[in-house]
Amino acid sequence: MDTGLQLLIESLLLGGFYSFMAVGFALIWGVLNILNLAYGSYIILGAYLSLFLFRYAGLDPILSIPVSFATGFLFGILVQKLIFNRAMKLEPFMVLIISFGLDVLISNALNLLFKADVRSINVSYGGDSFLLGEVIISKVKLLVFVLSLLLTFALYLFLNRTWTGKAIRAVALDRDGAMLVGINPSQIFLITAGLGTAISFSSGNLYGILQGFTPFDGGLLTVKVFLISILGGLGRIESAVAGGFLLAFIEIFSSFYMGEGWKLFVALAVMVGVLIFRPRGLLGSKYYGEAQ
Amino acid sequence: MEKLSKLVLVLTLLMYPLPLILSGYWERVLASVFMLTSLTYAQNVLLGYTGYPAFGAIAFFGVGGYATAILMIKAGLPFGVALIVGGLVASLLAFAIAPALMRLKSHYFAITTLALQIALAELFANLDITGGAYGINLPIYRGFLGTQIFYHIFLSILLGSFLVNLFIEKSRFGYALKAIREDEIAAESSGVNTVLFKSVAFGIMAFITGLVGGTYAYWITYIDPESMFDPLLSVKMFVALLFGGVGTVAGPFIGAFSLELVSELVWSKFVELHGVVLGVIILLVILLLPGGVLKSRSG
Amino acid sequence: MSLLVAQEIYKSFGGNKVLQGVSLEVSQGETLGIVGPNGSGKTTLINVLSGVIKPDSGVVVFGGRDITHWRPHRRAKLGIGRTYQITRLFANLTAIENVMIPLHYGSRQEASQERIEEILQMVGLSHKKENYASDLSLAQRKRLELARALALNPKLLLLDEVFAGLNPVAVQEIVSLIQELKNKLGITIVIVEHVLKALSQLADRVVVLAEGRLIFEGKYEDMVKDKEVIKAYLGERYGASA
Ligand SMILES: Nc1ncnc2c1ncn2[C@@H]1O[C@H](COP(=O)(O)OP(=O)(O)OP(=O)(O)O)[C@@H](O)[C@H]1O
Ligand SMILES: [Mg+2]
Repeated sequence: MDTGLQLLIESLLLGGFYSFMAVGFALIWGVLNILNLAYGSYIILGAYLSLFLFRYAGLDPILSIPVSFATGFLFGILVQKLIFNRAMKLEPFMVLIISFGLDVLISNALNLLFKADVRSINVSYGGDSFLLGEVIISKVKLLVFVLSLLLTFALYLFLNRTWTGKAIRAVALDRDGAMLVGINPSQIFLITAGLGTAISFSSGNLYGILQGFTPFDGGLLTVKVFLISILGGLGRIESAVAGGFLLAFIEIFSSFYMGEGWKLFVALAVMVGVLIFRPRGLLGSKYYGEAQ
Repeated sequence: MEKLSKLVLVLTLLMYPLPLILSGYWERVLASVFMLTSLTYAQNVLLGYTGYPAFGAIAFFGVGGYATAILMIKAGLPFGVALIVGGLVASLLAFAIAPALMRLKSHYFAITTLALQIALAELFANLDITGGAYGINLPIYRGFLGTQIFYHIFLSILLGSFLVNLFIEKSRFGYALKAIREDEIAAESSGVNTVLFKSVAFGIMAFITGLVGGTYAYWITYIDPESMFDPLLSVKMFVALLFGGVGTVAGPFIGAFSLELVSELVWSKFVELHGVVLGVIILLVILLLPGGVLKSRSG
Repeated sequence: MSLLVAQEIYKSFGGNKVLQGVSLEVSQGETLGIVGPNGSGKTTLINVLSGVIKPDSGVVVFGGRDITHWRPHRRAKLGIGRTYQITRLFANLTAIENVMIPLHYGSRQEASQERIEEILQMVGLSHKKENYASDLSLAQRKRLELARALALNPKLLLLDEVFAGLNPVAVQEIVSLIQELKNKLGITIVIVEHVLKALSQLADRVVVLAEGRLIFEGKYEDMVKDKEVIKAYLGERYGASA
């Protein structure tokens, strides 16, 4: 069996999910200039929500994606109105601390409700896999991959084809300019916060069928979406996708060849390299430190 | 010296003989209060006076702690020497990376230091010399002072870091930092070598933070990447600083004492709610009191 | 003898070619005026001279020394002081402290209370010495910036639109102040200015910058008659209304 090929396929499958997971974070960062450290916990919230629906309503986590999306959208708008709208008037790094406080709050609240045990959503098709040539492909991973790509593509269409989407991109590129052409930024901020949070919640459904989770897994996920945004760059969906695949390749290959424990360190080291040699990321249209 | 600073100094000195009458529980609580206060003073040098929020400053806590532990275990150095060298290692590392790192500002700087913290935690979880994910066991202190020794070391670091802040508030050196905080370009045009001074400020912050980390390591006698690179500690010192008042000499003292005592009281009564309450405190402090109780201008 | 020489300065921001081979010389004791339409690169040129930005190519020589690669703080110590078009004061420090910092770090002089007061007196801010910079009016902030530059004990002052936004009375007061600096202290001055009346009173010689190139050099009286200069300004006006 060709290990390299197997690893490559694994990276692709994981990369698709990573892209979708990170795209909400990158959107919020790019448009609102908020590095939301609670984003990982949002994903975990989505995972618990879909677990809840699975357990008590018998709803398959794939089918409950729209529920997560809608809940996330409302949640995002609520948090934006209650917290971030006020926080955005402060120094940007105060917003960073606030979002960390939110992360502490969410993860500990989940811990109160569900305890720290590892939960998983055991869908009936969970364990299946098939052989494609010499490569083993897990059905769940393939399903998650396809759904992630579809959802990311839908977002791409939304941002590029609809008026609201174009307005969001305009605000991301140039707040003042967008105001001049009659776009109301505070409305766009709300929509973007809702959309970004909706994406995080929905990716929680997918995360929940890929692997087990605990209330405190959000921190690591936040690190991952941050890495993806730096690796890929900001400002376009394609950037998050490139970053997502790159992170997946780094993780899969370094854990196979160096050991599981090294994968995050290698990813962080690559990130430092990117920061030094390509500060806009692989495909970024906006330098991440630009707004000085 | 203004009134509040004097009060802080007097209170600090008065706390030296306290262990004679304190229970073991309160001795430990106060030791952890002193620890947070020292960390907050360290951040005040950097954020309060120089204007750089090192959100991942706990990286240097970890470096100081690990360096102290390794020097004691592997090199057989006595604790005091290992501690000082550990602090120096942390501050040299900081000084070396400062010129590149401090080209970033505000939350970009903050998040990059946080990335550094996570990267170091990962690195230390994989190296042999740091004991990998299992960490390092330190010897237990059996000297004549017993557990009081940690109370006194933390209190002394607190006193030292308070004096550093007082010095910065009043001195020529401090004005270079304040000029950088106010406007870095204008500081340069006024003859301030900004790269040098902000690197020194970063190094001072790392030195104090490293000393606290080294003492903490010896105190808890067992360290691993999780306990030495805990992001919760980072956020606690920032909340304490923001609550007390950024860029004031008394602010860190007020902020850290209130935060740590409150969280200790909550902790002992409702262990389960602790995290939730901490999260709420963070949100409330920043949303309701973004300037802190004390204002830097009054100083 | 030339105190300051800039040779063939080029600077682009992305694709925006802001300075395209600017050369100029300023003699000891001279006051040189720089005028030009908005966006013609005047501030960028001041930034290059004071070291705030690095030119893509070209050389800056001060007092016979090549300082092209010097950081601003070294130039300040050498005696190059400047003000900013949009003031950059130390907002949360007092007027006294704003002056004390360049005295300490830039001029190698003792930052005595008397010296600080003397400088504040010179710019007419004695009565505001304990005020925070951010609490001052625009005119006062401009004076304080001037004081801060003077605290360097400068040989050369680079002034970027000190008169912008001031009323005629304040303009006239600061004009007199600058004349005094020039005549009593013999400071060499490069002054970027839109307020032409002030310029006509101060400048010994004027250069005109348009689209990153010098298109005129000579006496103020000749400048206002120059065809190229008129075209540059009119062109700008038509461009703006289009
Ligand atoms: N730091 C910078 N980054 C990118 N572009 C810049 C920067 N500084 C200046 N520019 C651009 O360079 C051009 C010239 O700007 P500059 O400020 O030098 O003009 P100016 O002659 O001082 O104009 P004004 O009369 O309005 O002050 C402008 O197009 C401006 O947008
Ligand atoms: Mg200008």
